[in-house]
Amino acid sequence: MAYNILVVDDSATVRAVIRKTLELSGIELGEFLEAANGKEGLETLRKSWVDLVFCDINMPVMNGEEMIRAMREDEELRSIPVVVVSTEASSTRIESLHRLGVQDYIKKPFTPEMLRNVVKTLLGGQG
Amino acid sequence: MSKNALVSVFSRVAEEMTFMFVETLDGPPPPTEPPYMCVSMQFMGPFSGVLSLYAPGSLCRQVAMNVLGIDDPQEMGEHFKPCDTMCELLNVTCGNLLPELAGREPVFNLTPPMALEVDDSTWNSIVQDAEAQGFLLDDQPVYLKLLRS
Repeated sequence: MAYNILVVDDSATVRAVIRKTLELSGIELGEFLEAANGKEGLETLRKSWVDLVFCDINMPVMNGEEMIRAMREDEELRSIPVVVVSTEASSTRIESLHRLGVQDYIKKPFTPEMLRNVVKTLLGGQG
Repeated sequence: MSKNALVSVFSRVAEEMTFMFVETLDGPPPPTEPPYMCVSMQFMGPFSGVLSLYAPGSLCRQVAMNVLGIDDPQEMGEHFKPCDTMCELLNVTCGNLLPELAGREPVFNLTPPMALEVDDSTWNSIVQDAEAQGFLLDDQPVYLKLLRS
């Protein structure tokens, strides 16, 4: 089974690194979708089937927390797993993200192994 | 205290992200050529300020290639801007630095990093600025400056 993955991050570098890591990890990738902020991320989610979302927190236009909140309020999007990939290290904000139902949290800088392990756990051992 | 934290956080983050050898630079930098870039971002929380990074454009390209794991600049694609990688390097440095300075509980709001080209005189000023911390990334200079308001 091929998985469609959406990466929401305002940095083209981070999107490219995540894409490359996933391509090299042996995970069967379907569509690799990209968005530069939460608003674009929601638009993509409403148009395309997505199995897993990687999302940054600090972004212009709409931040990651606002996007995840909007996903949880949307009947069709609320069950899509979200992994936050961020520099955000405040325990207060991480607790608030977990309350929003975020499946996992990866702190930047991350290693390819960290990314692979999270995908393996969430997508059923395909990593 | 701020400068010690900046040195330890940037050294770790830059080595982990760029796979380049990082050392502090306390004397004059090796010769460089323009253009020079400045990337900066603001943070607001229990205290506020600006974190800025200055580097020659040639280093921005090298850092981008290392982070992306490519050997040929053409592989970056025509729309990819090498300074985007410097923005991310600064963003990750700032995100890791603030908990070192303020502890793990406070929440800071960070603005997205902005990059702009600066002239030779700005570069020369930062090189001589006692508040700025110099580093060498694989023998190329980079300067960081933390301004708390």
